[in-house]
Amino acid sequence: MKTINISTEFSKFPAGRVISDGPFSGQRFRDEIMAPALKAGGDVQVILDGTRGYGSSFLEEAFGGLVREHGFKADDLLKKIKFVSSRPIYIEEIKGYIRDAGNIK
Amino acid sequence: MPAILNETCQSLLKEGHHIVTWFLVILGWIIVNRLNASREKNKDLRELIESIRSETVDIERLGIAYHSTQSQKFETTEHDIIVRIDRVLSRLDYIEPKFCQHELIEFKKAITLSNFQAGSSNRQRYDIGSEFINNIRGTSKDLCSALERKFHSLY
Repeated sequence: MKTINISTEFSKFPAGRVISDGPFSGQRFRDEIMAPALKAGGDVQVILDGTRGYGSSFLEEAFGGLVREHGFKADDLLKKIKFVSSRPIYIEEIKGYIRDAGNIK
Repeated sequence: MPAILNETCQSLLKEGHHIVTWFLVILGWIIVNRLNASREKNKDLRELIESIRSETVDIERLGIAYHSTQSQKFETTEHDIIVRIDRVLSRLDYIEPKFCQHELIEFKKAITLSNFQAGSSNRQRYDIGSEFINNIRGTSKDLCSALERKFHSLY
């Protein structure tokens, strides 16, 4: 299983939705880190701890965008991505964005 | 023989009386102690919920100011909002896992899902009476009400 630690492999200050919003946007994280890891096959573990928090725009673009922009199926993503966080609410929020993007109730 | 028996019975009754007295004293102490502990726990929870409510109102004010003005210090406000929301998340988890989760996610989304951390050129300014700003107020109120309801359902 591939492990991605956002705070060490991307930024302690992830912020913004699209690339024009800043250097550590959700779009950049999705396109450069998440999508390639998922396309390589197998499950992906994402460690959310260690950052200064997450804006919803970052999370929605980074994870909901995998369905919208990269064509992943929401059901598959929910099975393949394992989230690790000391704040379970972030995990619920992200799963909500993936479900919304895939129109899953 | 009956005299000895009588004496033994009297002695036992005396001892029994002491045992009952001690039992009642200890039982009383345990009950009072538990009531005090429960009162303290309620007080601590009340204070924690009050601090979360107060933080929520502060975040609401910051969020409204952020989205309704074109302040040049928006990056500091963005950071402040994210850190404060994260603090609320940790406090809620401390009370109970998934405590008011839905209401908090909706409140967070109202402030940080759209037009947030968007860079100076991409930012929009919303009117104070707009649906966007009213949604921040509404979700903040929903979170505070949910906190109150949870407190009363727990105690």
